[in-house]
Amino acid sequence: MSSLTVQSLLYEHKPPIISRFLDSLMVNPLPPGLQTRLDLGDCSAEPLLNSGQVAEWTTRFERQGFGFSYTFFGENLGFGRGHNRLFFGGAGADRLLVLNPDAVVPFHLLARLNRQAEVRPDWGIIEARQIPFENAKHFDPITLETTQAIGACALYEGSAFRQCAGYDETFFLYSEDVDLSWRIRALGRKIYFAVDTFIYHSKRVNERGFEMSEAEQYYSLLAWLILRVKYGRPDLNLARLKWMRDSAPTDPVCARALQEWETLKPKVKLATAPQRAAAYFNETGGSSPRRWQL
Amino acid sequence: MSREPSFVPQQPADNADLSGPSAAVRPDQSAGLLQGATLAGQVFGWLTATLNPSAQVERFVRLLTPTASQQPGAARPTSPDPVISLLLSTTLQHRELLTECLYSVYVQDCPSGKYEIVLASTSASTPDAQGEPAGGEAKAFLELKAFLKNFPADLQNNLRLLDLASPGPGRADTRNRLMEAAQGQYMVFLDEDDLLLDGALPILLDGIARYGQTDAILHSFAVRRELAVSDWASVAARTTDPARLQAEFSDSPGPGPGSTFPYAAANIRLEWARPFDPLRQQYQNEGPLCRYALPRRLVSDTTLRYEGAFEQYAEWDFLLRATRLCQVVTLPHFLTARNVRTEVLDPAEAEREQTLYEKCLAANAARPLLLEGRAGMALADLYRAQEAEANRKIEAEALHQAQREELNARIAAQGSELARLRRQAVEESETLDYRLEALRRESQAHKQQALEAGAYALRLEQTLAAIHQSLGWKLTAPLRRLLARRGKAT
Repeated sequence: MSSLTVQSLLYEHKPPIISRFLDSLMVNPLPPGLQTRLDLGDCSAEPLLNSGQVAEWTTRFERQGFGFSYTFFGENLGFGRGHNRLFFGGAGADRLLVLNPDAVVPFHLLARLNRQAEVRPDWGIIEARQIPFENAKHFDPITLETTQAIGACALYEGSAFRQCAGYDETFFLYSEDVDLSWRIRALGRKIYFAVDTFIYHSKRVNERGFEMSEAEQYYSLLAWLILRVKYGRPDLNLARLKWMRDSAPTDPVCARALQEWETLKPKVKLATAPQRAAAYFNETGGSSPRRWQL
Repeated sequence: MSREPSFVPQQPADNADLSGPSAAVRPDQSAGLLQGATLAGQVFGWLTATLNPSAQVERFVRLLTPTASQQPGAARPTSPDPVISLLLSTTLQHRELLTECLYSVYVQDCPSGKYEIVLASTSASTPDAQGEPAGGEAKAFLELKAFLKNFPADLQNNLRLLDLASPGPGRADTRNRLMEAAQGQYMVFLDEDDLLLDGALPILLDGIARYGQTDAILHSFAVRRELAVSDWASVAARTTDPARLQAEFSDSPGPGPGSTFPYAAANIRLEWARPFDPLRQQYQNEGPLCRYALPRRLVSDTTLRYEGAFEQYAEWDFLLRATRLCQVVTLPHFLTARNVRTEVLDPAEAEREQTLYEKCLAANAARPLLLEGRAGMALADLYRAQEAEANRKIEAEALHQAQREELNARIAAQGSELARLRRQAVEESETLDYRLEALRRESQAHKQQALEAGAYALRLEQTLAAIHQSLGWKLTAPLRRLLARRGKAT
């Protein structure tokens, strides 16, 4: 019997958010022919679930036919390292669904993602839509093929994930999913956009666009720089670096990111030629054709 | 799915038809509305004396007159629970959109019980193979009920499904029934193609706590989601393998011409992000109704209802009439999103829409604006006064709270000082007790010494008396006298 592992990483999430996420996942009927389990990793300073809560969730998930495990890492591993640790530390799976715990999933998520996988033998990743704000990217409305998948909700073909050794751990947060998408495409597998299912991914907007925390700004700045150097396009970083240097005197986030970038730059593992060929950068340096903007 | 009119709205003619539908007070409610209306009564009196209003204006002012509980300082009834009623009309054909809408409610960080979702189906069941409704409304209701069982229990607990035995045509009748079934203090109308954004309900609850006292309509901003695929003809032409599409979308309606399948947003715009402008709203349908939270008293205290005759403009007409009854407060937050699909109308349909639009425009243009003219300004002053009063109460409450906290801090400080003094007093008392005991013992010792000294003195007196009585003393008496004399002589 094939297996499906759902992985999610907790990091200082509030208890109602965790409960809401798990409750919404639990009402999903099990995809037929797939042994399904949820592996929850916790990168918080203190465990977010105590043993009683773990036992309760285990019982509730097992009642629905899911396996359930909770791993407390005791340190903030970052997105890629945390998921790699969960996946390669366990028994592995034929399909891996990575989900953000600040999302809410509909009752048809597992069934529809897996059905898309079954009708497409060449799949590498299948990504669900995000509401209320879809990720800005192009997809073909007929073939549903797209250039990259976002890790907030992406179903990975297990052997492809294994072959790529999972996420690149140089990225702490953001863009590791784009990088892995391109590496999976370089293996000859395709990425599909499942338009018939979605996750509600919490994001707030104001008149200027998305509201971002300092940590989000910091890691997205670094991720932007790493991705473009890795794929042989440091030229696309020039404008961004100039802006960061100009902003640094008044913006401590930029200043910190610049400082960190100097130590991070030598550690970036360069992509191979096929991987570079699978990458896509648009004319403004973005990593996808822009479909919408705030 | 929202549709954009494909024509430029025209300004109303000067001789606009005044006979359009309007909200009217039921005869049995009008007395209650006017009763006890002190400040509003003064406004009414002033208007009557100054403006000599026509019958229409009188009716308008009666509608605007706050009831007794709206008067500044009047006690309001206890806030009903739930606070917000989300009123959702749907059709089974749009269940994919409905799913997204319901999950956008589920995601809200809002205490269960603070909101309710009241849901009603606006149409009969899914058409059968012949295109006829299969089983009618009862089947539609049962299908919807079964569909809702897929959702998490928390959501189902806050959801009520209305069984409309015979819904009228269009959405107006359904919405009117939803309003009558609502139990919350405030109502928000949602269509299946609306989404609540993260944090919408907490922000609305906060707004209601702040402005609900004045029964203000709460207006917020919305995001416009333009769906990725609107030209289905070209998509259908490119589809080479319909069987594969069928396999991919076996349990959903799937994409296709005429489908309301969501299919992702191509453009997301911060479109409806202006403060409420009554003048602008008067002449242009300014976007979706989901941006407004309306006090339920608008329905319970008046006969304000949707007018089915305006069809797709019934929402606009309803909003225009509602905003003449209540002050509108803009909450500068994006709380909702709406899916929009541009559609090319055929000329006949466009002409019909234009006629409807003009009819709606004319009916509402004939009514005075809330914030326009002397009547409107007087009423605005009244509401401003109420709001100022409400703000004063909030500030006073905050001040009281601060004073209470300061007092509590002082009490706590004094308590600890008191405890310290008590401890000190106990210590001193113990010291004094000890000293008292020592003194008592000392006193007893002194008494004993005094007694012994007294006894000794007595013994000495007795000895002296015995000496005086002795023979030797008597024999030596002349000698003592002689010595005494010699002493005087020297």
